[in-house]
Amino acid sequence: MPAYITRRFLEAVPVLFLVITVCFFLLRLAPGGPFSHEVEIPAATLERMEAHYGLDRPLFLQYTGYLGSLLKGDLGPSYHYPTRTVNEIIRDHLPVSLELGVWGLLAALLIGIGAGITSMIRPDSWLDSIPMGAAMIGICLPTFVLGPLLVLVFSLWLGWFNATGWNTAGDRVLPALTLGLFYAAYIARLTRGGMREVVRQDFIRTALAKGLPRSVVLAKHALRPGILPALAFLGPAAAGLLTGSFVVETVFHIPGLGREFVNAAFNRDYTLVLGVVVLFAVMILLFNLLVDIAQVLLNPRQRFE
Amino acid sequence: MTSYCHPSATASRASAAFCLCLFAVVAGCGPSESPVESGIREQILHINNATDIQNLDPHTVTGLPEFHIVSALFEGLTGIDPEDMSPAPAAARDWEVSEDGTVYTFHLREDAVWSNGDPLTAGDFLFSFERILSPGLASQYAYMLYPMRGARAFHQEETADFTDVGARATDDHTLEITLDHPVPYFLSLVSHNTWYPVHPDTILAHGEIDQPGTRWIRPENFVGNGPFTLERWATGRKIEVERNPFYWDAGRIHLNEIHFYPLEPQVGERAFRAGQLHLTDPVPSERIAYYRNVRPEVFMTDDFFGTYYFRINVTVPPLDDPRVRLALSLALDREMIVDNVYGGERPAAYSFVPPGAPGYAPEPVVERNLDRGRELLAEAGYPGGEGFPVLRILYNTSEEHSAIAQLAQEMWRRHLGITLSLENTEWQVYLDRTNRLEYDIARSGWIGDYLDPYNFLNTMAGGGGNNRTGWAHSEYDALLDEIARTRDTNVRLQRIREAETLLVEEAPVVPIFFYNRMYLKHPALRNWRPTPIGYRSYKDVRLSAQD
Repeated sequence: MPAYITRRFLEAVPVLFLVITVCFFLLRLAPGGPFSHEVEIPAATLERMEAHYGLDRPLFLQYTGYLGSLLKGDLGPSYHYPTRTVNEIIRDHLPVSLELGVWGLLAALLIGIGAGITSMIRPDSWLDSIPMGAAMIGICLPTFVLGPLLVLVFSLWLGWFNATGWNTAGDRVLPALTLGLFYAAYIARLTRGGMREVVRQDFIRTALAKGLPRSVVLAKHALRPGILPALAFLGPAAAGLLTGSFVVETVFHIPGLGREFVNAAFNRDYTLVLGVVVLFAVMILLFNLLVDIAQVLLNPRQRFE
Repeated sequence: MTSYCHPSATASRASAAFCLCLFAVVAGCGPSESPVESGIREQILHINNATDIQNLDPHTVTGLPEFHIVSALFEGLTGIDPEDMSPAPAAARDWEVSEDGTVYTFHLREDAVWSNGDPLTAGDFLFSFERILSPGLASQYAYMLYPMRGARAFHQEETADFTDVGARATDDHTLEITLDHPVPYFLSLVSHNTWYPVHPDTILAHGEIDQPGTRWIRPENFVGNGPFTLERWATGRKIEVERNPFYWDAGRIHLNEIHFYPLEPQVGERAFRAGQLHLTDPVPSERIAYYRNVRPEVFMTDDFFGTYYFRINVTVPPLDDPRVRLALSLALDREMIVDNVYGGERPAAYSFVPPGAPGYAPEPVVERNLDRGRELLAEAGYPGGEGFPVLRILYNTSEEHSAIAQLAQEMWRRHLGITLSLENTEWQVYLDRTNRLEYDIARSGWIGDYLDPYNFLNTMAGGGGNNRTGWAHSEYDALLDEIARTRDTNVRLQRIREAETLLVEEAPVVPIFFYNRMYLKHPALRNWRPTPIGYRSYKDVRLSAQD
C-alpha cells in the first residue's frame, strides 16, 4: 500500500502543474483586469498599481515568479482586497466551507443511506416509491430553488432558523440540508441499487437459510457490499460538496471559500483564483485517493494496483 | 422476490439520531430574541451594506459601500447637512474664503481628537494631502485634490517638493488651502473621503507614507477621527464599528455599535423579513411592488445622485449623425420603462444631471416626440428605418439592464422601424468593451462623488476618460470651463442649463431615469437621514421601539 500511495502522489504532481499553468494563462486571456474600474484611472496611477504587484513584468517571469513563491507556500497578495493576502483569505474562509461540506456530507449520507435502505424493506411498495420519488425530485431540484424554499418554510413561516448567517448552531441546519439533499438523492438510489444486487446473491440466501435473523443479514452481510457503489460516488461527492458550495453560500450568505472563489473570478483577482484552484485541485486529488483506498479496504476483491 | 420486513437496525438508528439532532437544534438553538429586537435594546444597528468591501482606507477606497463605513470612521473638514445638502461644519468649526475665492482658511475644532486621544491638527491634514497625492500610493481618486494649487504637479511628479502645493498650516488649528482658480463647489468637494485626514503616526508605524496596502487600517491598528471606531472586520461576514468616546460630538451619537453586512439584495431582503436587519438597501426590484403596497411603513425611497443612461458610440455610422442619436432619444417612453422595471418608483430622466445638488433642480430638455424622431431619422436618410443597419445594445449581466434594453429595443423597433440586437456580457468584458469603444449603444450609469452638477457634466468632456463615446464638442468644453470657475450662481446655473441642453440634443448620452435609493427600514430606526451621495452623518440616529 505505501508504494501505491507514493505512486499516486507522484502522478498528482504533473496534474497539479498542468492545472496551475493552464489556469494562470487562461486568467490572463480574460478581458479586463484586477484594476478595471467604471471610473477612469489615470494611466500613471494604473502603471503604479501594476508595478506594485509586479504585473508590469513579462508574463513568463510573472509565471515563474508565481511558481517560485508557490513552492514556498506563498499564494501572493490579493489584488481586490489590498490589505489581505490570499493565504489569509483562504485561512479565513476555508474552515467555513469545510464545515459546511462536512455537515452537507453528513446529511447526504444519513438521509441517502437511510432512504436507500428504507426502499429495500419492501421493494416496489409505497415504502420504495416514496423515498425514490423524493430522491428523483431531489436530483432535479437545483440548490438555488431548494435553498430559498427551505428558508421560506422553516425561517419565514415557522421561524425556527435564521434566514442567513453562520453564527449559531441552528444556522447550519438549512444550508446542510440544501447542500446535502442533492447528493442524498444520488446516494439513496445508488444504495438501493447496490443492495438489490447483493440480496439476490447466494451468500445472502445461505445466511438466511442458516436461520440468521433478517435484520442481522441485512446489517452485517448485505450493507457492506451494498453501499460500495455509493462509496465510489463519495469521492466526487465530497469534492463537490466542499468545492461546489458556491450557490448555498450565496443563498444563505455563508462566508465560505466558494463565494470568494466565484467573486474573485469576476473581479479578475488572479492570485486569489489561482490560489483557490490549486487548493481545490489538491483536495480533489486527495479525496479520490482516499476513496480508492477505502474501496480496497471494504472490497476484498479489489487490490492496490 | 424476497422482501425484508425488518429494516436495517443500523440505518434506522442513524436516521433516528439525525432526526433527534435536528429537533434538538430546532428546539434549543432557535432564536428567541431577534437581532433586531436585541439591537433596539442595546442600540446596535444591523444594516445591510450589500457588498463585501475592498478596503477602508479613505485615500484609496472607490466604492459607495466603502464610503458608508468610511464616513462613520473618519471626518473631513466639511460634512453634508442632511436637511438641505449644503456643506456643513465637521472637523472644521468654520472657514473664511478670500475675496477672489481662491484661498480657503479652515479653523479646526480645538476639541477634535483622534480615537487614541491625540489632538487633530492642521499638520495631520497636510500629511494626509501629501499621502494621497504621492504617486506611489496609486490612489485612483487623487485627482479630487487637483483644484488645490500645485496638487496636480505634485501627483504627476513634476515636483517632488510638497511645499509647492497650496496647503499650509498657519497654526495647529488653522489650515489654509489655496486654489488655482475659484472653485464654486469646493466646500462640497472637501466633504469627499479623499480629503479626509489619516493619523500620521499610525500610517508611519506600518509603512512609508506612500506605501499602498499596509495594515494600518486593520481593527487592531486602527486610529480614526470619526464618530465610530473599527472593531471587527470579518470579510464576508460583517464589519463592526463601535461608538468613539473621544469624538468631539459624541453626545449626539446614540448608537453603541453598527454592524455592516455584505448581503446580496435578495438575501438581505429575507434577512430583513426574518428580523435580522434594521435596514437593507437596495430592495430587489421584483419585491418593490409588494413592499410599496403591503408594507409601506418599511419601504423608503430617497434621492440618490445618479443617472441611468445609454451611451452612444458616435464613431460608428450611422450613430455619428446627431439626428439619428436624437431620434433614438425622442422615441423612448421613459415612463413606461420605469413603470415596468421599477413599478414607477424611479423618476424618468429628461435631462442628464440628477436632482440632489443644493441650488439645482433638473429641468426637462428632451421629451418623447415620435413624429420629430421619425422626421429626424428620415432626414438622416433612413425613412421608416429603411436601410438602417442592425446595431447592438450592450449591457452587463443583470435582470434590470436586460429588461430595460428589451423595452428600448421594442420601442425603437415599433416607433422608428429599426432593429437592434441585445448583447449581454459580464462586468469586466463590458468595461473593456466600452473603454475601447467596441459597442454601438451601451447601458451606463454615473453616481456622483460630490453634490454639484459639474461632477456629471464633466464626465462628457471631450477626450475625458469617463466619456467613452468618442463625442467631443468645443462649445460644450468651453461651457464646462466656465461652470468650473464661475462664482456667480445665476450665471453658473444658466451655463449648466446650456451645457445640458447641448448634451442632450447632441445625444452622445440618452438619459433614461434618475437613480434613487429604495430600501427597507425598520420603524424603530429613528432620525435616519441619508444624503444623495452616500455620506451618512449618523448623528442623532437611534433605535427606539416607542415614538
